[in-house]
Amino acid sequence: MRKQFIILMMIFTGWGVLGIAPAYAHRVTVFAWAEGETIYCTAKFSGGRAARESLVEVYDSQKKLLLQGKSDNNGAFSFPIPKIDDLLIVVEAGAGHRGSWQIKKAELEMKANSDSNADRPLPAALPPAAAVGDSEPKINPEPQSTVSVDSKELERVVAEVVARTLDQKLHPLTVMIAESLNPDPGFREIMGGLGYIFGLIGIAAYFQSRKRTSKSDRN
Amino acid sequence: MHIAEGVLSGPVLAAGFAVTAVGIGIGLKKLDSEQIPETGILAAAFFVASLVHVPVGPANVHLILNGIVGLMLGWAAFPAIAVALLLQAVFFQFGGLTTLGVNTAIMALPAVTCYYLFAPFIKKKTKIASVAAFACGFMAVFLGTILLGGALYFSDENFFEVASVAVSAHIPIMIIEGFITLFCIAFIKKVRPEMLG
Repeated sequence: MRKQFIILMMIFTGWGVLGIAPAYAHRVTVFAWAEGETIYCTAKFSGGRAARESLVEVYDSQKKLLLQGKSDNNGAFSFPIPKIDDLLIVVEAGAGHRGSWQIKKAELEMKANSDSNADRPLPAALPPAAAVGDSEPKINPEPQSTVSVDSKELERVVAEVVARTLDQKLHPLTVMIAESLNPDPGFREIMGGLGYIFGLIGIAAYFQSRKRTSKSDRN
Repeated sequence: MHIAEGVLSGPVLAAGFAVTAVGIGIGLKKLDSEQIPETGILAAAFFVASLVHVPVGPANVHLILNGIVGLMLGWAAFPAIAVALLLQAVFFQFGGLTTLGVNTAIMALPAVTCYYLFAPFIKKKTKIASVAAFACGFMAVFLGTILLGGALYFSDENFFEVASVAVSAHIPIMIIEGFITLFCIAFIKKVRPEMLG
């Protein structure tokens, strides 16, 4: 019964399942993260192609537009943190394509703390770090020397340096995560969808057959 | 061809759902038991077709197959495409649930239109049938992009330019779909001509 046609459509289906070429379409995946005082954002289509020259809009939690711009050729966009708030980054890639990513307030607050610390002048004790390498440190027993750094200051400075170094060290990792976010549907999704469709055929056929048997009972 | 969530305005979304609801209603009413397997298979083909990408230009270019779906199913294209799009939205995050109505209308209305335009010619001589099949595949995508442009246009006028870009971006797909429809019809005509009756 209509075997050939079914086989033909199976071929299409198999083509879809197996022969999926690198893609250009559908879904825009946005990934954004804060680093130092900057928010970096990348946008790409399913299949990994960059959403280049796309409109990027940044909203706060009140849905107020904070800033907008265009992504570059690699689908990347960066901007200074405009506000400590839940930020929604929306990328519009044209023809109804749109994706978004939210950066939580907490993430930015963490950054802000280390940043505000950075604004304060370093303790007088620290610049003389050079003094450590001084040729005659012994002749310089002035009271403000490194010894006088109180533990709080020290903690702050260390935290700041660690935060900065971590940002640096984590940068490649963050980029890697951004790149590995693959929005393409996998085999499981495809098979799941097909399963639903065939299930629906089954349900429809079941009701049709019941209709038919009840009709034939009556006859 | 899939419009994402949050792009369209409320009235356009509502109109999409209204059109789709009517289409599904008519489609289900016209669907007889003989047509169920065919509808399902075509829905499955439509479901995966959007995973077949054609690398042309920077735009959204993938197979749609709404021409052949319409030609084979007529009004039943509505339920078939609606189900396939729903599953695409859920599993692939293509399109979205709020835009399901609009997206279904964008792809199924041309399918039904092409059914009325071209189905009568398919039963004729091979030459005429081939031309009609190609035109069917071509026109279904073309009309789809016009509707896409319309939906975007009514939501936000700035989108008009973008929409015309989408039409030109789909030209390769129109040609490819034309040939696919042609080959499918030629094949069915040879092995199962009664299916087209």
